[in-house]
Amino acid sequence: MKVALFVPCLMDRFLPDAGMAAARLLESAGVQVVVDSRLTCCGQPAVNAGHPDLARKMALRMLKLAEHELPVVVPSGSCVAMMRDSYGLMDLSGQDAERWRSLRGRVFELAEFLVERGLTNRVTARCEARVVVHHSCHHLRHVAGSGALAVLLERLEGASLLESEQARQCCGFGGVFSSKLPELSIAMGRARLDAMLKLEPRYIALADAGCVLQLSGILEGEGLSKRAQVVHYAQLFTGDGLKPLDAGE
Amino acid sequence: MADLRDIVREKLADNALQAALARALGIVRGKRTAAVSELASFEDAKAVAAAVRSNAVQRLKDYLPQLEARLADEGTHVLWARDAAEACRMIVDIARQRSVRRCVMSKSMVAEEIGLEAALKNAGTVVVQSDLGERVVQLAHQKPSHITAPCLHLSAAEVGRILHEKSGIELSSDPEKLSRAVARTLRPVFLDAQMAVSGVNFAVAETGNLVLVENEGNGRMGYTMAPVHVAVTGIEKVVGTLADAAALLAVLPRSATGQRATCYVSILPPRPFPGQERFLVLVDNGRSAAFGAGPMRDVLRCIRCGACMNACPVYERVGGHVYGWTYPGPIGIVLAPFLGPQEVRAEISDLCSLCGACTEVCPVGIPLDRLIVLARGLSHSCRPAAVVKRERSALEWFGRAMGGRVSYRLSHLGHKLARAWFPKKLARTEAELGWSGVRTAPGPAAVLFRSRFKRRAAAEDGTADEGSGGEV
Ligand code: SF4
Repeated sequence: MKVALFVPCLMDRFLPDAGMAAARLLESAGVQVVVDSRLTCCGQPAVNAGHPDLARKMALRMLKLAEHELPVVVPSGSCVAMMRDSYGLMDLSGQDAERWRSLRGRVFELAEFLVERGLTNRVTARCEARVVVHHSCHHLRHVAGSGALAVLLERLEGASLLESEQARQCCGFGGVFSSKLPELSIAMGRARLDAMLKLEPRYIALADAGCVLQLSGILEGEGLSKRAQVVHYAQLFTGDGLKPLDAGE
Repeated sequence: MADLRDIVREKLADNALQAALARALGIVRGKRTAAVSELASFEDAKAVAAAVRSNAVQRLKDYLPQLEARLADEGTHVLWARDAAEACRMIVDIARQRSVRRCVMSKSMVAEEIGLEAALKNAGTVVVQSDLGERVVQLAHQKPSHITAPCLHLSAAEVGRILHEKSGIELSSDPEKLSRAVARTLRPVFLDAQMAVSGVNFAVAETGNLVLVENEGNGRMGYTMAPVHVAVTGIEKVVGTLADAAALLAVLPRSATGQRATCYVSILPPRPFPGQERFLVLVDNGRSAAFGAGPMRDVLRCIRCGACMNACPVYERVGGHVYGWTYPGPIGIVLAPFLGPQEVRAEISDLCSLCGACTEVCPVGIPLDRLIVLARGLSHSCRPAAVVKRERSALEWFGRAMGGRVSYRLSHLGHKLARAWFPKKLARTEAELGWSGVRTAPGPAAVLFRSRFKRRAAAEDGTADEGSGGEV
């Protein structure tokens, strides 16, 4: 099986380890991965800021470049939600609408893809650590629910998965929101982190690049990076970029 | 209006508010979850309720005349108000013509929306709020901060203090005790009031029944005793049949307060009580505009349960006053473009991280987070042109940077060089974007994922077989 892996802009530029982890996780499930380096950004920032017209060009470009038969796998729930649903705000017609229909049917979030294709039993991985999973909002509410990730995480041996009571509450990133009302955005992130750090995790795993940047940015800004590392869940499976338990900072 | 960011900062630093919010929302969220999970399928009940409301909104133009005819037949006067001013004028006229000196008002968000209390007062009528929460904010000269729990921003102790200072009730922080004490002070008001104003939860087109829910019974006391009852509501509150209303009652209290049912459910017959005059004032005030606004029409489905604000992580941090008008929270954001005062329309939609917690709980299936994105689109025309222009140019610049392989790599390289050569300038930009200090901005990767992936593929080339790698 072959897929086109789309590692979105934020992850490509700020969290390349997470991108590598996504690729390797797919490969470990026996999937052949190709990457089209012409694909950059799905257009989410402009749409979320209420300027769908400005995202249109990016959407059209995405639709054209993704005009192939391969499943498109994205390790980011918000970008999947964007391509599946929000492209509907752009008055696509004719060939573009056709392309969108095709893409909608074959764009998947990473865990969602592995679960839907029944590939998780091929995944074996070990991660001897305490892990808190935080549910990224779009992944949770618009894409895969909490089910797919839970099924995938069952394949992670050795990890003790901890439940934070705030695991389903927004980390406060929100794209432009994080810049328009930074104090509020940070207060939201801070509350989630406080709840999670109480559980003394080694890793805090999320499903979206923006959320990883938000929570790791706050941990670092507050000098708490030694307490835990914020990662994309794929990294738990492949070890890409994970800081070992004792090394801390 | 002061800068939204400043107001937010102030609320974040208000420890009493933070404590009140944490407590109240903790309780109401827990109760809702419990009330919802005891049903075999709340999702099914939600789907039915959503269908009822969606149908009612689509068929407004049939249902409203039907309702009017039913009520008129039975002697209830139906008045149509285009906007807040007209609605107030009508109700003030009703009061004037009957020389109403005292009016008792039970909780009504539409009365709040149109500023009815102030209008009646200006016309010389004394208005007493009979809902405990509304009474407290009235006495404290504040505004409600929540649509079902008006003084959610106050602790029980603060409520007790306000009641003690303003109406001489014995100092206490026990809600039960306070509520009984307030009820006692209201008794003479009920006996004395010549007019009662209430809201309406659902107006039933087929039968002309008005359905009202409450927990204290003070509303019912008011509008059964007063010789004049003015029910004021939005034109969207109509439903087809009593069965439709029942379907909504199945989800409303569970969503609002986590109750199976409210303590009182009143189904008023279309005919006024003997010796009583009844008016139904149907207020448009922007609702027709929402009706004609494409997918935004769905905002009219709302049954004002408040679940969306209870679930909202932004509301949880800042409370309801930050939104700057009658309806706070997610529903307030999507109503603002149509019903909101001009001054809140510019910035209110910033108060959202698009997490979708509201959509998850909304009992009538309003896709709130999706509509908030559209509300942001509508907000641009209310913001200073220069601000919008700046935002658009930044996004256009971003679009160009992302728009091709070369520009993409160049912008990444630019970021790296800025970090190496102009760290101070970069830090300033990051600070402007709110990524500095207690939240560190991420640094650009030394090597992009795409490059790493390509290099790996190249390294494996020749040694590996048909493995992963390469381009599509
Ligand atoms: S939008 Fe939905 S959740 Fe919010 S108040 Fe209205 S009905 Fe309740």
